[in-house]
Amino acid sequence: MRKKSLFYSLMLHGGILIILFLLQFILPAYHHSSVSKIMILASYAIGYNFLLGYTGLMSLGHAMFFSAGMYSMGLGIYYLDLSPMNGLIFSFLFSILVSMIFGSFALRTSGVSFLIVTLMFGQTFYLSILYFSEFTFGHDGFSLGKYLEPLFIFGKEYLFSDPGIRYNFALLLLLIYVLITTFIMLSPLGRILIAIRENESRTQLLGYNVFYYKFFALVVSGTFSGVAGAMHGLLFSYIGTTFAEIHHSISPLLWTLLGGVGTLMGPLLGTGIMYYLIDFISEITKNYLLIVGLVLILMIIWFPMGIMGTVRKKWFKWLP
Amino acid sequence: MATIKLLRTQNFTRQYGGLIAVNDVNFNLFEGGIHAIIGPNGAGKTTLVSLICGRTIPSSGRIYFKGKDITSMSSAKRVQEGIVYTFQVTSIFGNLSCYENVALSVQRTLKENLKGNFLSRNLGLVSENEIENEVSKNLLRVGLEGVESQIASTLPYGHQKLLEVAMGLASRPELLILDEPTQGLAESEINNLIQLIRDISKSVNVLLIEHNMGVVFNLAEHVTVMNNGSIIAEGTPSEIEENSEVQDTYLGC
Repeated sequence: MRKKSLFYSLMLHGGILIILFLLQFILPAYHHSSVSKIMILASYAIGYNFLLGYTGLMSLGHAMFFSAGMYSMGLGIYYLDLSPMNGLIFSFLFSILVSMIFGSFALRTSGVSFLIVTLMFGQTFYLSILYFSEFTFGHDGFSLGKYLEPLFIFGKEYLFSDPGIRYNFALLLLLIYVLITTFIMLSPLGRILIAIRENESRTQLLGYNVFYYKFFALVVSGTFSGVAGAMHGLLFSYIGTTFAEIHHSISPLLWTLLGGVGTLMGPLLGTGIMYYLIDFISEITKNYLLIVGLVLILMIIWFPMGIMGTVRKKWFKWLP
Repeated sequence: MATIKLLRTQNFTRQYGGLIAVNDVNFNLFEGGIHAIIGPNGAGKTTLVSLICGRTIPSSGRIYFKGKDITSMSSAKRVQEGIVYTFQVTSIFGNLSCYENVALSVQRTLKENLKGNFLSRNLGLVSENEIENEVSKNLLRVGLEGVESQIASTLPYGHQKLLEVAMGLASRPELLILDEPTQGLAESEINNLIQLIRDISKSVNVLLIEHNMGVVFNLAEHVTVMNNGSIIAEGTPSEIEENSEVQDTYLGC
C-alpha cells in the first residue's frame, strides 16, 4: 500500500513539476512572472501547511517567519555586504533561530491560545520592524537591486531579476520543499506528526514526548517560510513591511484551505487559484476582497476539505 | 505466588474540588499474573489507573515502579518505562488505517533501541520492513489478521477494542493496564477476549479494571475492591467473594 502510494505520488508530483518546468517556454511574459511569484508563495504555503496540515497546529503569525527570512537576507546583504548566496544561508540560519525561540514560547500553549500567541508574536515582529525604521527603512522598505552581485552560471552572467533565473529559482525552491515534505511525511516521523494532528493525548500515551515533535514541525515550517521570504526578496529585489503584516499571515492559511489542508499539492493549487482570482477580479473592481471572501465562504460550505482534500476523499485515496 | 512488588502507591490522593476521587490509597501490585480492580461506578478505579499511568497528577502521595520513584514522570516517559494503558472508551486513531495505528506503537519500541539524537532516531533509521513485521505479528496475536489497510474507525466495535489491545502489546509493556476491556462486547467476543488476556498474562503483568464479575473471577489471581475512593478489601477471588463488606457494598446490589 505504502509503496503504491509512494509510486503514484512521485509520478504526480514529478509530473506537475515537469509541467511547471516546461511552462516557462510557452508562457507570455506577464504570466511567466506571475507563475514565478506563485511558486514562491506556494513554497511559503507548503511551509505553512507542514504545521497546519500535517501536525494540526494553526498559526496566525507566519508572516513573522516570512519577513524574518526576507529581512535577515536583505539587511545582511545591505549592511554586511554578503553575497546573495551567503545572504540566503544567513536567512536560513536566522529563520531556524527565530522558529526555535518562537517555538519554545508558543508551544507551551495549544488550541486557541496558540493561535492568539502566534498572532501576538507576528504583530510584535511587524511593529518592531516599524519601530526600528532607521535600521530597517520602516514603511518604505528598500530595493535590493543595486546591491546584488550578478550570478555566474556556466561562465555566463545573470541578474537575479532575469525572468529565467527568477522562474527556475522559484521552481527549484518548490521542488526542494516538495521533496523534503514527501520524505518526512512518508517516514516514521511523519506518521508521528499525523498522529499528533489526529489525537495528541493518545500519541503522548503511546510514549512519545509530543512537545519535541511539535517543536520540530514548527522549526521546519518556520524555516521553510523564512527561506521562501528570503527567496522572494532576492528574486523580486524588494524588502518591505507588507510582507510582515497580518494579512500576509492569513494568506497562506487561505491558500492552504482552498487547495486542501494536509495535501502536498493543495497549497500550490490554492495559491495559484487565489492569485489569478485576485488578479482577474481586481481588473474589474477595486473591492476584490469582497469576491474573494464570497468564494471562500462558498468553498467552506461545499468543500470543507479543500480542492485536493475532496479529490482525495472521492477518488484518489493514495494522494499524499 | 510471586512476591516482588512491581508497582506501589503510597498515600495516593486525588481531589477534584471538594470531591476526593482517590483517598489515601496504598496499592500494591505484585509481579506475575493478573490483578483486577473492581468496585461500583464512581469508586475511583479509573482515577487510580489514570494516576498510575500519569494522565492525572496526584494531589498528594508517591508512586514507585520496580522500586523507582516515578511520581514526577510524564505519561510518555512512563510508557517508555513499561506502563501501558489501554482505554476504556476506545481511543484509536479513527482516520488512520489499522496498520498506521499499530505502527505508531511499534516504531517507538524499535526506535528506543537506537542511539543518537532526535533527528537520527526519527528520520528513517527504523526500516519499514521491520515495522511491517512487528505490526502483523501484533495484529495476529489479537486475532486481527488482514485488517492492515482498513480505516480503524470502520472496524466493528469489538475489533476496535482488540486493535487497542494490539497497540498496547506493540508498546512491549511490562504492565498492561486494561480499562474495562469487555465493556460493550457481545458474549462470544468476551470469551475470546478472556482467552487472549490469559494468554497475554503469561508474558506480561496485567492490571484489569472490570465491571463484569464473571470475567474477573475467571481471570484474576488477585483482586482489589474499591469504594468511595478507598480500598475496602484485597485478596484472592474466593476470599473476596466471602468478604461480607464487599458483598454489602457491591456484589449484593
